[in-house]
Amino acid sequence: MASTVGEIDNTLDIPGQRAPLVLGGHDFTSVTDTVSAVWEARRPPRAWYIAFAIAVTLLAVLGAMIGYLVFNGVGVWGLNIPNGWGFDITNFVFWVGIGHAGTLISAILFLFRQKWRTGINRFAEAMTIFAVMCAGMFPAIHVGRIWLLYWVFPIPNQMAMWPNFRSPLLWDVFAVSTYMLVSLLFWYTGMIPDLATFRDRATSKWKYYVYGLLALGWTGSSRHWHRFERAYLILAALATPLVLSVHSVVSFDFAVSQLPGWHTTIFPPYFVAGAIFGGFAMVLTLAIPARSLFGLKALITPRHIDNMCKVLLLTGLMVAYAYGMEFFTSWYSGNPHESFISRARALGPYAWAYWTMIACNVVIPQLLWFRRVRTNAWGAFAVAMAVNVGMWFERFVIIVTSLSQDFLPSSWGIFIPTWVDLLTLAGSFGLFFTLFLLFCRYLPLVAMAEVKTVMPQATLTHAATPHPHEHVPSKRAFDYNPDEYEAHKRKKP
Amino acid sequence: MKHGPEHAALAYWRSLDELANTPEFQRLAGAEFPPELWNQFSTGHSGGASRRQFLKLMGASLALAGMTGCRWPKENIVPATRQPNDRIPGVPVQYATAFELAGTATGLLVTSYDGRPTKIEGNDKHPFSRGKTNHWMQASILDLYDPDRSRSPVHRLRGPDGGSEKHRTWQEFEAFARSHFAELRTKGGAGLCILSEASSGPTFAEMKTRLLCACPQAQWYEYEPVSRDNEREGTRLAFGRSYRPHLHLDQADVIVSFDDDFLMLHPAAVRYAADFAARRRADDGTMNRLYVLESNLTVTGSMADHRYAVRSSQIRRALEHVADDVAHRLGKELRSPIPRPPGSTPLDPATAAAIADDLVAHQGRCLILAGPQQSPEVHAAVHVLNTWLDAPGHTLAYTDDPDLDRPSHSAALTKLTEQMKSGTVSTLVILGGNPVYAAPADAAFADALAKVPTSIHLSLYDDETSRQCTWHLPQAHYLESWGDARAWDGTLSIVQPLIEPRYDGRTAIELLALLSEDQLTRGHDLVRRTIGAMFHWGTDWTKQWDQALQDGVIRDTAWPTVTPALAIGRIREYGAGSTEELVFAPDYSVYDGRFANNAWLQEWPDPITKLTWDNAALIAPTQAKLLGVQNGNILRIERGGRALEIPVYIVPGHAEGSLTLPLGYGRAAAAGAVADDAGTNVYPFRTAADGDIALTFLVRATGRHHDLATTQDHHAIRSRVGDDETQRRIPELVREATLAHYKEHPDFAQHVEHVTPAAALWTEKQYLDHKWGMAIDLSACTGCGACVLACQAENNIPVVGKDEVARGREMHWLRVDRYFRAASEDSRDQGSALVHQPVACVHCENAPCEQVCPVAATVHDEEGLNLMVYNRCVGTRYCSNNCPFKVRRFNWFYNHHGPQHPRSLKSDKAPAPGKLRQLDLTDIEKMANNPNVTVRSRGVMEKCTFCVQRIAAVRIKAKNERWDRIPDGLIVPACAQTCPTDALVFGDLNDPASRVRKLHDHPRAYALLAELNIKPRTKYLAKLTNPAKLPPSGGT
Repeated sequence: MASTVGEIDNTLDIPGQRAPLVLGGHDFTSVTDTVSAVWEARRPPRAWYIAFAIAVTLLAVLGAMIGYLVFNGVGVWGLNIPNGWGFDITNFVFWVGIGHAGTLISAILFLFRQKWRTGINRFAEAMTIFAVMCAGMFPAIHVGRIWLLYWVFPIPNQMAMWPNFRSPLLWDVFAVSTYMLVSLLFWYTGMIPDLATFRDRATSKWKYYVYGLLALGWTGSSRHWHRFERAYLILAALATPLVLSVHSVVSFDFAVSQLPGWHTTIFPPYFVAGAIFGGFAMVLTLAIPARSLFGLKALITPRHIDNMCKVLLLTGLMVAYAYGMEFFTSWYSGNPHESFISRARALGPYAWAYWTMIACNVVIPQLLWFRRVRTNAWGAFAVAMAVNVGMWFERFVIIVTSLSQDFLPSSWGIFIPTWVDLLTLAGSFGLFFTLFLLFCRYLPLVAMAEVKTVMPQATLTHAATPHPHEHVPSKRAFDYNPDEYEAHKRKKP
Repeated sequence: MKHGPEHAALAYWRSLDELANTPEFQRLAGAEFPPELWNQFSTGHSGGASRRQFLKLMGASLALAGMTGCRWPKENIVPATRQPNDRIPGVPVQYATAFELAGTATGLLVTSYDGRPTKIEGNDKHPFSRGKTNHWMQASILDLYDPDRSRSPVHRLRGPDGGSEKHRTWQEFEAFARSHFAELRTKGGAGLCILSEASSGPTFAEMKTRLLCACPQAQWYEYEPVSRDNEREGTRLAFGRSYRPHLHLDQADVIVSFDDDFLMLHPAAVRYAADFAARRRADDGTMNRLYVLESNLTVTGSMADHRYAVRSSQIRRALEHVADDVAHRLGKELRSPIPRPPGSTPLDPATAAAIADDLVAHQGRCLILAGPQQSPEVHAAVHVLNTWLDAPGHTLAYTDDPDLDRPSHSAALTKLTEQMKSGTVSTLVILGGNPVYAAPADAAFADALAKVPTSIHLSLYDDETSRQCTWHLPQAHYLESWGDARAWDGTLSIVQPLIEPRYDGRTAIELLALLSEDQLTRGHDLVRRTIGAMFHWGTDWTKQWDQALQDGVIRDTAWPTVTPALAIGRIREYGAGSTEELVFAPDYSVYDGRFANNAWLQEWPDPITKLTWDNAALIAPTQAKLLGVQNGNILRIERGGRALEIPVYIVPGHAEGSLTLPLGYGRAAAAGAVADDAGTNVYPFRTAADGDIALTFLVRATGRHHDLATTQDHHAIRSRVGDDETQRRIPELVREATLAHYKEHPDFAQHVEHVTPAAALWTEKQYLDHKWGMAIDLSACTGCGACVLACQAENNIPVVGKDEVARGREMHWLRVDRYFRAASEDSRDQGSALVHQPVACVHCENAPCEQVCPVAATVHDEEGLNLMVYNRCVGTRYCSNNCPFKVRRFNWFYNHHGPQHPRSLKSDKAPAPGKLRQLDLTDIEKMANNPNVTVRSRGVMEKCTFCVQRIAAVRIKAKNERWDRIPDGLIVPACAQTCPTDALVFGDLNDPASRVRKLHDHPRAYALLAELNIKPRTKYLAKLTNPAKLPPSGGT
């Protein structure tokens, strides 16, 4: 079994050869051992405890804040007329956006045969589930009478009332719940072989039963594998349109209304790009500490991070383009209300939020043009953090600046968050990280079965073996050896 | 058959009580488990309770246990043996009465549900006020149910240790008063002084006479902190005796106001606003023209065609410039030939000449007015000018002053305090008012009061004055009182009570009857006696009396007009100018402070500043720059050894060098929970010597800040880009033209914004039956804000408190937007014009709110009303976000005493853990609610319904009585009912004869934000102005 080695650079593309996606000379057994070790360890690392303590504390804060909200009324937040929405829906869109990367990585990259996804897809999917849970919470608690929230679901009732199917808020209910359901199924389905591995390695009775139950009787037979791969493919195909639809529907909350700054046809693609942007930033935020914390550097390699940074850069440029287009369309439309809101964002009372957003989402991600930033864990992490902040502010800018200065100047009004707003936002991170840290500890953090498929050992073919008489090839012909790469690099002037 | 008495008792009983009142029953009922019953269950087959019996018993117990929850709260109900005529439970009735403020009455109709008054409307049979009211009258219903009002007489003993106070009964006070006043009467009333509020009622005058007859040496004084006494003194100067001027604004083509806010603060403002507005619509192609010279920007100033910001202390000089020019043109001599003093002139000569030209060109059709804070000399000059310009008989009338011998209020108070200080006053009776709070500072009334051995204060509240008196007596609210009062023109109304005094209060006339040992004691009898003596109705008495009560007015009681002759031909020298001044002005919301405990008025946005819950020193923007202050920064003003700290509020258009200090705030805790902590008391600076304009003072910024809550232009939202955009939008939102332009282009309002007709994507709903709509004439709207309070009273709109207003959570369904329109970017701070625009839900036919509600809680009805179904609302607030007018209001908390309501803040009831401190409405406060309007709960959106309850009431009646059609004008929403100028008109757009239909088809009509294709049902009529052909420089 190979141990984790120091950081090996596998980010270079050598023509004709492919970069290895698993480093450190792992074989199938050692991959299983490495991933299972996180779970099998007697105790998680000390950092896990610290992080968990913080997260649980924040979760408790969230509980207290929701209790306070429900006891007293939505007035404990800083909302007012005109700002009927503030942190609540900002947080909702922020978390839904984060919930995008998981399914994108799982489904779309799967369909596009992006093999590097295997190292990160499991926890990206987990992140999706937890982010959507955080997201779903906000529309639920933001209503004035939470005890009547079930009225938004089309449940047959004694009033013979349907919800209003024309309302984008109702579309949200369907879009987000569908997304949640499919993401959960996808995540769980993909996890079944790994859960079976845990079952097989269980050291106690209850673990055996729990994981056994979750593994649904997986035996690893060819038939199982066949069914599994078919199901996975179908779910990927189902999930793919959802990646695009959820955030499009979320954007309809704004685009379908007639508020200047919201009423924009560019919103669906702009929101999807933004969501992928924000989602990848959060994957990076989670992956970079996790890989060193749990000794997964060989499975989540610099190449993975490099690839994610490239996605971040690309989607960041798309978002920047959208920002520019918003200005252009507001000018080109000749609609004075629209052009005012564009000016007001950049120069008005919320200019600080707008320029924070521009700095974090447009300026800072340009650092990712530099390979040294992409391959430096700290650099990538810093940029990802900036994007996290920037994407939160993007939603804040869209929601609050538009609401605060609409048609009649007499009713313009500022939104100032209260301590409850701020603690609820912090508390939502508590919920997210509590769930994520529990996931790290109790579920397979990396998709073992899938990682194995991208290792050279998986495609052991006679023809591909450069030395036919060698008994066990250590690598595939077209995977370059990182050492060769070092040599290659030295050859360069 | 023999009938024993026991049998008879069993066979016939008069009541269930009697039947139940047998000793046997009493014994059984007294014992919880009577042995007989218990034995009944225990004599089963086996000696104990059988299983069957046990089950029966338990089953019955369970079934009955549930019924304990069905009990109604215990109340004592006295059923009517015979139903009174025309009294149907739950059907409101209206009674006529009158509201008197500082000696001037307005006729009212008060709606009462089962003996519980809930809403005040104007009495349309009143010949003077003609069915209109202002915001003070609308809000006065809340005072009736104010839990802070005092409930019993209080006897206070002064002592070195702070004294003691004891709550007494009226009987105890009566016992004291009988002996005390009997003794006084034996002395002829020597040492007795009475200080009363202004009162116009004949009964009050009668009681005064009776007391003074019984106590000939007693002294009677009258004091009002705010009055038009200077005008009265001015008539005395001009004509040799005092007269009361009456304006006929509907006859005036040119009106020049020298610092007179006659549209808002004149006692007859309700009528005058209507008369003024009648000439603003240009229906006959003519309009009046209003010139206003004033220091503070007032409602009247906002309606001016030409407004000049002139310091109040300079008004006299400005007037004299105009007067000179007028005199010159008329060939008259006004004053001794003293040359105009050099230095700054408040009005440049060209302007003064232009005003004079306009006046002279409109002789007999013009009117000059001067404000009550101006000196009697200014008023005298105005009377002289008006007479020269032939105003009397045309645009102006005089009547004899109702109380010729009365000294002016400030003189009276000064004299009284001198007497009190000299120790000659042994007994002081204060009828209403609050002189300890509101007397001029130099009178030192409180110190003088301490020297009076017996002082009796009759007042609604155990207030500042009561706390310094030896007796406080609770006064009855006017809706609990019998009385009478006269309108400004003398029209007599009978004040009749709507309800028994809730707090054991008595009226001033009843107290006077008690003090003078009148044989009559009840207010009703006293009023009947006076009215009976005044009118010789003879055998017709009952019918006439009933008619007077029913109409709320006794016909033909207006005073006859007289034509006084000028006693002077010239005015003395120019008034001294000054560069800085303090001006004391009554506050638009709390007046002189008497309404300070009225939460509706505290939260009612000032028409100009939009301030709530506070007063502030109002200053010009340039002045603010000079002092280095911004809104809310605290100024320190020093004057005569006193210092005052007050936040500042910047008013564009305010005169430079002038600080306006609104009266009525900063009441002591005694004033009540609502008044406490609101604003700053400026009375300590107001002296009888200087009147309302003080010239010597020091002012500096303290560097500290006080948060002011306004409903518009929240400071933090202001930005340069926003201000630019606001200026760009104002002409689109409030469309305006001059009369000349309007005549050339009657449809100018249609061409402000290009609205492309949008083809409907679906078959749009047709409204074939009724189609309710509203029209708001911006030419007529003065921005007075009476509609806001009428709406609040009608629709149970809660008060949320200052902090909530500051957050932007006020609940008013109807707001009056006001915009300062700058002629250019540089002049944005200078003499801006002010435009008002009432905005409530416009009931869009393509309502953006309805589409986005996920639970369909806001929907259209068959008549096109955009309705809120409160029960269905879950509170996503999406409707409000998508409302382009932002007229929807959300209940962020449970608002019937929300957590920021002063009563909640001052509650000592500890909240449950995790809950904010909230105080439930008391049963008394709940009585103010309109039972036909849902009291909205927490988490629910609400908004204007076009008073759907009023529409429904008429619609039901029409259906029941098989009317062919609902006559136009029968359904009037609360806002339109109260609007003094009839700027708001409601009706059926499908009725081609309806007023609203005609106004919708008017060339001036336009829909706000029509370009959004929302098809609003409310249309605005563009504002017209009538500036002079050659606008004098400096005007707006």
